[in-house]
Amino acid sequence: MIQIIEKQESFSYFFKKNLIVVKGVFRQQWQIAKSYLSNTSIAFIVPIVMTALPLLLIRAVGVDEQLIAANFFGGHSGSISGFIAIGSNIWMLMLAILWDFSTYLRDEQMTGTLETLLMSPAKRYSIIAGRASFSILFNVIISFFATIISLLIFARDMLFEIGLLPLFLLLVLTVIGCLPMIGLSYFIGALVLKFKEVYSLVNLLQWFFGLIMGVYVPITSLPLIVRVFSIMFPATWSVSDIRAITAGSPPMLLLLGIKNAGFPILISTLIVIGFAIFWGIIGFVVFSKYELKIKRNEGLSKY
Amino acid sequence: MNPVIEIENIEKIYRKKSRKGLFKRELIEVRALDNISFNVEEGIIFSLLGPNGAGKTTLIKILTTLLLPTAGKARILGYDVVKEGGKIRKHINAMLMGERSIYWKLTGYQNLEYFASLYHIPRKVAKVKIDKLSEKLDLSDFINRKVETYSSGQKFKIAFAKSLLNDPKLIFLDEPTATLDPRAAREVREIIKQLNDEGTTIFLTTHNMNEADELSDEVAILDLGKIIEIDTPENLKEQIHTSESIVIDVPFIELRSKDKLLSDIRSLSFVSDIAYSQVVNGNGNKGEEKTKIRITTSKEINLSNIVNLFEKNSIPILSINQEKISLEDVFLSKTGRLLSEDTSKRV
Ligand SMILES: Nc1ncnc2c1ncn2[C@@H]1O[C@H](COP(=O)(O)OP(=O)(O)OP(=O)(O)O)[C@@H](O)[C@H]1O
Ligand SMILES: [Mg+2]
Repeated sequence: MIQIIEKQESFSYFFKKNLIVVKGVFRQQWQIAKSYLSNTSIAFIVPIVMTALPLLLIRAVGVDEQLIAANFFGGHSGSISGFIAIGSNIWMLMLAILWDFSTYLRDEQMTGTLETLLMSPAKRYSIIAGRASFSILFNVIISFFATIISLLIFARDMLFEIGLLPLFLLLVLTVIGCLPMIGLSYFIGALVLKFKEVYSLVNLLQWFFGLIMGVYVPITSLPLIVRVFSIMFPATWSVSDIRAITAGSPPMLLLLGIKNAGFPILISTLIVIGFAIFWGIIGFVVFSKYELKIKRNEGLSKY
Repeated sequence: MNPVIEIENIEKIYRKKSRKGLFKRELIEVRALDNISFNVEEGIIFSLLGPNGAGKTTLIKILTTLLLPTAGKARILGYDVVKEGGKIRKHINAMLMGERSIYWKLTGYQNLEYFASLYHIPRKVAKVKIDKLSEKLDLSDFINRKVETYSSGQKFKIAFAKSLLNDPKLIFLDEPTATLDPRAAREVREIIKQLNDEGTTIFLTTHNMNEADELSDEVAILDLGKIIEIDTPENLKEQIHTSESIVIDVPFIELRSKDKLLSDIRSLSFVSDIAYSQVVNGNGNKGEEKTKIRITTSKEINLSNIVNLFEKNSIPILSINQEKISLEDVFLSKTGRLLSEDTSKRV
């Protein structure tokens, strides 16, 4: 009998080991992204178009923007153009992460590298951590500049009035807003792995997400049934609070009718983090369950 | 005796649902592995020889923890493949899909660096390792180019280098030479031998009997999911009490009248086994197809008897070759078929 003596792992060794994987995956993702760098121009152009469409409509109708703002924001004054520009940009950011993670497993399966990946001793969570940290950093940086450009075009006044602190908070809330999206998308990705055709589901979902997170209108004006989904969708919370900080619209808790909460943005940020943990666990559990099922049946290379 | 692989009554049944009409679904079962048991000793080159669809890849996937067996037990380096996959993965490596197992958008070096990180090898250590592998496998000409610009031999080499990154005690190679030209294949066989000399146990699959013969210390012949023979190549060949076999090529078109011909030949006293297969050359044009008939004979052979039979059945002969007894004859004598035949649709 062959006998291998396994070393007992200390915590710091365990940490270092996983960090090697995280860094390795991060680097690889960057190297791959570099070959598609021209694609990122889409991330700049699409939010501009998505912002322009409703704004052109508003301007064509000829209603005073301040009046709309008062109506949208429940009496608060603010920038309606900024509201829409930020909505479009955060929406696009969430979609970038959705596509990154929901198609991740399926793409690796189709190229043939999924088996190589799963045959390695690297832990799933460190691989995901590497991918997630790259995806967030990369997409948030692009989204940040795209937002600045959109604001320059459509809401110059508002942009120049935002202080540095709100701008910084915008960045922080954006990053935190990406976290639940990773778990949620990974969950969708596991579904894609099992029911191959679900690519079209992701396609459909992106429009649905745009509707429920209130890209163009405050969620208070959505039909009740849609609003239920809005509240359950983490990005709704993030986008509302980011707008509250920058465009002057009410924060999420106020939209829900909770008036006297101290630190409403802090509280809803904690709720977003809660979502992140929830979807992270769901995504992981569902993937592991499907992986086992697939291994028991046809194997992961089958597509 | 030190088995690195212990396989006990492994069985794998693939279950596929296939749609039959709008609402009806039918469950199709494919028994890819049927009650397989054997051990592989440390330090040897072990070949799993079998035709297309025999179940070779299925077995390798079970042993590399990518697939769960339907029944039975297997241990790798003493660890259970079902319960202790994590421990196994650290010490083994494998090349399964060759050039498909690496990222085409990255350079060879970037690929190796990435896979090294998945084996918890720090970047600096990885660099030293990759440099060594680059020298050993002669990668330096192309390692810094993107894989999408490689020839298939070059892609293969990077995939092969990948499977050596963690200095595995045991390495699985699924048809390592199938996609290579003869020269590259020879080179790979040399590397496999060298690797084995350095102490790595090698488990490879092939449907090339010469390769199995040349490389292996031990060969298992797998057919339709069953192990039909397992021994050293020498012992296997010794089972056939003849020393010659004749290979006759005839045009493909004559296949229709084959049954009569085959039974005529079989009735000759010095013929012990006979089999045929269709061979598609080059790009598979109709005109390039031919039928290969392999006849295993005893020593007192009368070639003109055979040739007469072809004439009688008015089948032209393209070529006749006398060949030394090989593992192909062993396979033929056990199954009545040639190794080159595709059995994947039979099960
Ligand atoms: N995922 C799957 N689902 C259903 N049947 C499968 C699956 N994978 C393989 N099979 C079937 O199982 C049998 C064994 O396949 P396997 O790939 O193990 O053969 P192989 O010996 O590796 O063949 P080859 O030389 O062509 O690679 C075949 O009949 C094949 O059609
Ligand atoms: Mg195979």
